[in-house]
Amino acid sequence: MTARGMTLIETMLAIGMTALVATGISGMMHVLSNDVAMQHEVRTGVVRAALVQARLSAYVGRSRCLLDLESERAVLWLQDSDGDDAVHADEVRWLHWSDANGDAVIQWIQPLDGADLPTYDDPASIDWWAQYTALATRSNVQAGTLALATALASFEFRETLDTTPNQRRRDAMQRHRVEVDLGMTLGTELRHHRVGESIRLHRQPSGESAP
Amino acid sequence: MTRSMHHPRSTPRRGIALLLVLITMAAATTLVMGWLAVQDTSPLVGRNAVRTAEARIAALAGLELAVAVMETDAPWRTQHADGWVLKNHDLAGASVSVRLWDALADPAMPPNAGTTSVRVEASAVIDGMTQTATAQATVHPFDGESLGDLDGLALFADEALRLSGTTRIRGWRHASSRRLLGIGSSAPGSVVLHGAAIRHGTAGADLVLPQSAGPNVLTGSGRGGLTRNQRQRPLPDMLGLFGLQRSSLPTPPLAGPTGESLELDDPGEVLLGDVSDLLIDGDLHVGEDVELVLPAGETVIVLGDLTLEPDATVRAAHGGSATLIVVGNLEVDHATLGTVTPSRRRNSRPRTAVAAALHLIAGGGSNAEWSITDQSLVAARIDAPMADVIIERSVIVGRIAAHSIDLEHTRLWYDGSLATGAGLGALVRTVDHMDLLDRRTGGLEAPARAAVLERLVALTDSANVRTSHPASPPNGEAWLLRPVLVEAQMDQFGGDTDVWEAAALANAGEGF
Repeated sequence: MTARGMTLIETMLAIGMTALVATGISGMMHVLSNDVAMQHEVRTGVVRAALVQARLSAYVGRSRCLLDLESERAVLWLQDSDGDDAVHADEVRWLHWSDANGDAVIQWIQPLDGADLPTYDDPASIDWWAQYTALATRSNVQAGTLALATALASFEFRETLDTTPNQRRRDAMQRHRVEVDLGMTLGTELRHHRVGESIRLHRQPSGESAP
Repeated sequence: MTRSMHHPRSTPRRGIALLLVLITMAAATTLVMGWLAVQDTSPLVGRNAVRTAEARIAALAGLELAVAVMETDAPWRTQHADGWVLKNHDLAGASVSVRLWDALADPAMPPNAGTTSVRVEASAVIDGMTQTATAQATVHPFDGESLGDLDGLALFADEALRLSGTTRIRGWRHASSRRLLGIGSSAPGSVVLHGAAIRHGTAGADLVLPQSAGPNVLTGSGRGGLTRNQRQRPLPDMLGLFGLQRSSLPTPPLAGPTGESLELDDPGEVLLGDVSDLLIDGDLHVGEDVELVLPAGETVIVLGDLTLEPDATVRAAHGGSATLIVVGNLEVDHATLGTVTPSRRRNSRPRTAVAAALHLIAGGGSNAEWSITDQSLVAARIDAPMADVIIERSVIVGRIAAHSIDLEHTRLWYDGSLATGAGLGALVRTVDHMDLLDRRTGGLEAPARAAVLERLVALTDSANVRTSHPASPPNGEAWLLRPVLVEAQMDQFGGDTDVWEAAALANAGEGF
């Protein structure tokens, strides 16, 4: 006659409540899991963008002026090593983004054994990328490459001019600010960041020439 | 009945315990997950990026403040603590420190009374985040002696300058692309440019004129064909000196020949000290295939004429430099003066040349005639204030200052390493640059430019020397009035790109 265990209604009630709690916990876990993943992506994006910002600032901030600016590449007159107000090849930095591997890289030329590098009389008339290609293949120079950012989905300079090459270069030489839109694939989503920097002591080449 | 009364049933309590455990577990899980969620570091990462940017800008502010101080009469050269001019100074929400170094001192030293080239290091700290900005600043170093120092000019002629034929003036290596030509006379036709010289010889060069010179100082058949540079100015660009009078070259005239001549005719290398005194009383004749070596660090004086026969050489001892003063005429015919290795093509750019190794001076009191002809090679700094220099079909590495200069079918490779940075060339460039500043948006306003010019004139007054810089305390108007020209160039803004690039090269392009 002694009643042991739970009645059917008690059992069903317990099972129902357990299922309810489990469902709640599961949903909450799912939401939290997604949130943590998203936060991780945001954090990753912020860190990577901050890194690109720091590297871009280090190059652009100290540069004297831009020599050319297109949507996915730019040329900087980094410094005037000899103080002659003229652009020499080893004072130039070429910055471009490669669609193939998603890397944005800085390139430069360094003379070996006192090799002579060209001086550019009229920077606005120079095809800087052709110059780089020609110089980098010379035997008496060393070409350097440095990654500014890696594995980017997109890398695009803002406010570039669609005009003649000479006019584009003249416009670039007047600019004080560089802004880049970065696209990063984080998780399954494409996220965008914008970084930028100003040339702090802007100086254009004075135009004196070499033969 | 009795038993059941003393031992109540406990089964219902077990069901409640189960529910309580489940609820407690759910609550604990929620708390744990919530705690995990708040551990997200994104805000910290974002804050870190903001602090970095803030500190970088604060460091730049410190750097600009240091440059501003250098533009005043403040005694920053001497009033510092081991180079520190600011230490933990509150600026733009950061703690900023600025240290100055004499950029030319080796090893590095803090600035002293004569410092003109300064390395500025500014660092800023915000919440433990440190960023650095560095720059190279040049404080104009001019004084009364600057106007007599012509080492910054490729060519300077006191009376007449004539370029003709295929004459070219180019930079020796890329350290000297800017070529200044100078004329001391304001008379019409003092500078004559003929033929291809205007296209090949002077394109890109600037002509330094006395203030009193008019546009007709420049004549010649090439004048009509002047091209224009990107600043839309005729070439050569004519730069005045704002009424400043150039000082004379510091060369005391010596008397003419008093004794016997020295003739060297046996081919081979000869050290002058072995065959003669360093003061040659008469002429010096260097025969064919003779290589005369001047002792390093010595001054050799020839009171008569100096003649170099074809394939003769006169140079300083290897690794050293020498001064050669010629009182009489100079004749160099298909010969070599100085330390220079010719190229395979005789009239082309030499393979190596050290212009600083030989200082060639005309020491006579009356006009001498210096002639360098027939594919001769000269690597020297030439100061000939009383000589008329004629150079034909030859190659010169260095620079020339003379009474008059006539270059025909000649190539002059101006060696910019001869420039002292404090001479007439540097002064002209500074004045020229002020014009650029004036044109630049936000550049010097007219009153400020007038103040700068006034200051420059005062500094180049021969009565003033570098040590007499007025030094007023940095208060009141001293901060507002910034008459000293300072040209600054950044070489670090946050990250050190030079270090990155060196590491990248060392690691064969592995990058960061």
